[in-house]
Amino acid sequence: MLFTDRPIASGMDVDVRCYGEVAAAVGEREMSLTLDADATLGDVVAKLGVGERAFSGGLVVMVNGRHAGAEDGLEDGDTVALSQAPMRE
Amino acid sequence: MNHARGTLLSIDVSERETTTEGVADERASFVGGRGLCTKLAHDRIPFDADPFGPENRIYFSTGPLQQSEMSFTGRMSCTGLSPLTDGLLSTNAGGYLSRNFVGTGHSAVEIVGEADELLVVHVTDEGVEFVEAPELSGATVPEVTGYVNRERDLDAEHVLCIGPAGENLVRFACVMTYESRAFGRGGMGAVLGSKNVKAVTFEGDAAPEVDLPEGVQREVHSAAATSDDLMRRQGTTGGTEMINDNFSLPTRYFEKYHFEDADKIGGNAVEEKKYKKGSCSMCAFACKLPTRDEETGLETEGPEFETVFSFGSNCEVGDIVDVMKSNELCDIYGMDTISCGNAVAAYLAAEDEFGNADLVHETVEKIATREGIGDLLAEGVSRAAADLGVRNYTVKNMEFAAHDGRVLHGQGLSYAVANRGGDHMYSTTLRVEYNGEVDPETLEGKPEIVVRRENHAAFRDSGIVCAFAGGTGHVTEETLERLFECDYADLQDVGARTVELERHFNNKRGMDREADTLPYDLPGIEAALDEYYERRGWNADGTVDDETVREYAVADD
Repeated sequence: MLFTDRPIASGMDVDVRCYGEVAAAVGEREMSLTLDADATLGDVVAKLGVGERAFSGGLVVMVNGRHAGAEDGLEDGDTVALSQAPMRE
Repeated sequence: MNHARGTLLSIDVSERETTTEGVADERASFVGGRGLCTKLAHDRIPFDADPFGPENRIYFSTGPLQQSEMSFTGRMSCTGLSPLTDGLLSTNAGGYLSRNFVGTGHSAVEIVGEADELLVVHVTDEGVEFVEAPELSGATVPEVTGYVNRERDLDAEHVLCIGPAGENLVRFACVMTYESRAFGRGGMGAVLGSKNVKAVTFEGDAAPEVDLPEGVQREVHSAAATSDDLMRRQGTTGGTEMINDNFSLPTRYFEKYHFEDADKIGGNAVEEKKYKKGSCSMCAFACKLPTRDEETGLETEGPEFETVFSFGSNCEVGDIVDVMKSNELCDIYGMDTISCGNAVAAYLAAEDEFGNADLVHETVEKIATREGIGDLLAEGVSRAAADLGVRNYTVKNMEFAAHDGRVLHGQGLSYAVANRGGDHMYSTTLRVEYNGEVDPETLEGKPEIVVRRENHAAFRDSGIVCAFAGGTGHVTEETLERLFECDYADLQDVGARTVELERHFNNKRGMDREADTLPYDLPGIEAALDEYYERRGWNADGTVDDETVREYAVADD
């Protein structure tokens, strides 16, 4: 079926959780972002202004509990986690 | 290759006699610390020794870096036959003892035998003095430290000792130093207790000459002093909520992977209670956590992440002050917070009493004194699980650290093969899985990583470098090459020989592939074990041939 009553999605909402050093840099621990439908994780990182910052052990980015990269796309309802390396033993 | 200097001091507490021996070949081949003492223990403890018998030997040692002026070197190693794992085991502690130990002029100190009276042993650069101290029977760690201060005018920086748990042969009793720092895992406090030794002090000005390169020391020290790493404020607890939300923070005795109140016991909660900086000798990184609760007056040092898990989430206790109290009780009585917290969590599971902090604290005290249920729990989870009717969450009888092998599969493999059992510091594969360097949820490629990281850890504990030096990027493989003036591959070889000697000793006590077993299934674990043994050059049943360890019985510097 080509036509339905559902509106065509023009964007998506994702939840973002910032931890430790990233939370301190962003100034918030949790937020919801509305993004373009073709937005990537890199866009989220850029939007929060944390891409150029140095975090201890590097910036760890996860989506729904799995590691992900800047080029990876997102889906409506995803949860993005951003943290310094959580354990450095 | 730079290595520790100084003699082996052997103290026979049965005869109250000492001997001093040269161990130049062993130092050259095994550097110091864990490597040196694994070699000595392997060759000098009978394979059929009783961990609590006079024939067991306990070793304390330093490496060459304990004579440096570099951060991340305030550590010592302790080695012996463990009453918990029943295998050869090393454990190490921070604090301020290492440089006073070096001052005695020895690279290693061995204690053997069993005294007929409770002893305090004073080791100086002029000799050894045995002092009978029956009045210290049952004394807590702070009480022992106070005694040494009064009687000998030595402060806590010179003292290692046991609390009541060590005297009562609790299988996860620690050797404590500087009151709050623990040679934590594997029950070495109970070994000292079995020998009727309550404390050992170290004092002297006879540090042997060691010529270490200075430029690299200054670089590391300067970087540590100016670092803005979160660890400097929150220790190991800074990743608690990230790990809880995205990996696993074992909860309700490993029943759940997520703890609803993690934010109440995590890094921010700990930092709120922190009231001053804490460090180890010569370390400008200063990641320790002196904490105080103003309302109750409770002071302790910590909790670190492992204790947040063991006495927090795993007991379903969501109040940081309750976790601080458990931490402090373990320090006072001299017990490993990981094993003790797991034992208490197992008891709470059996009694359906999760979240009952008062019962947690009461049970910790009962374990230390072996009163009531404490007598069973003092045997450790593995020996108590059947009676409690709970699952046995251990490897080689060693209770698990927080890092959950069910979601960090490489760490799971590491727990399985580690000669120390379910301990995270044996390879710390967890780090590269948490930070995404490798996919956590596969065993593909993990045997190679585990072997390399085990070797690295064994060398690190021989040097001796704090684990956080590598993890925070302050001491890299290249830094180690400059410090030890050799190729990194040579350091890997030292680590490999150390791991292999532990394995060979444990084989002689009947441990083989069957002991390398997890209490849960991991996809591909059998193939990963095959590959791990093959990479190590061991037999498919997880054993090492006698000829293999004979090959490096003498120095190959």
